Amino acid sequence: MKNRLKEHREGKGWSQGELARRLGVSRQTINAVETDKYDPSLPLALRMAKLFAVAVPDLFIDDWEPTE
Amino acid sequence: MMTEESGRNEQSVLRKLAVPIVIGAAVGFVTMFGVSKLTSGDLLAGLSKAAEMAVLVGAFYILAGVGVGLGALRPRIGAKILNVEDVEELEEQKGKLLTSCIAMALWGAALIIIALGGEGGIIAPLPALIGGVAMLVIGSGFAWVSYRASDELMQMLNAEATVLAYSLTLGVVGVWAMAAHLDLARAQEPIEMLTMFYVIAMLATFIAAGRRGLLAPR
Repeated sequence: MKNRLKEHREGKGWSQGELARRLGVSRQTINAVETDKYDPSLPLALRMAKLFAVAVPDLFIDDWEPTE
Repeated sequence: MMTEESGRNEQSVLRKLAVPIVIGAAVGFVTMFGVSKLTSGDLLAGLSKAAEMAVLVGAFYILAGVGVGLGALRPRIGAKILNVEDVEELEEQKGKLLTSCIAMALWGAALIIIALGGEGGIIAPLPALIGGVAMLVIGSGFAWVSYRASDELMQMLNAEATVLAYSLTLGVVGVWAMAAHLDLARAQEPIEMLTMFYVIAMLATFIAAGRRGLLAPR
């Protein structure tokens, strides 16, 4: 899933290591999410959104639309 | 057009790749040479080819465990040969890496002990079984500690590797067993099956790690 994690992280001036430390995960996880290799769990996505004070859909882009 | 910075980055990635490839190739060659020398000597002359292969695979597990473990213990050197961004990343992962390395080395030792306990080996069957099972169980304990210390990406990767290993085992060992049952292939030797579990587990881990981008140079 495409996401804006890198954009938000760089906006705060944080390195991947700094964001990983704040979220309690490894740098590999941050790197995998930023490069679209891994979609985080719901709890981690919520923590990311809370950290950047945005809604989850502002961080993770999903083109799906409900049909009638 | 290549900028000066992208050229430098490319050089740095190449350098980062070259060091582990050269070291890996050298260690692989020395291990194969060492095992071949050992098994061709008088002491292990009676060992079957399958048991020799098991010793070789076990030795690779031990060397991989020891190599990464030393890298974790000496992060400044480890950062040059392991796929991490910097020394700090290695220090952050030190505990998890060390327990994982001990598990790998013990699992490798278990395979070698079992291989050396069979026909033409140098260890009596019962002590070999007790030693092999003990190493496997203790190694699994360390792997569990490492798993518990891992974050969600590594736990997911572990689950994916397990599923993949199951499928590969069914595909390789299962199809071979089918053919052997139908007299279309020779039956597997137990040590071959055991060695295959090890090889498949390693292969599945690399595939799962590659799919999540963990093998891409950092």
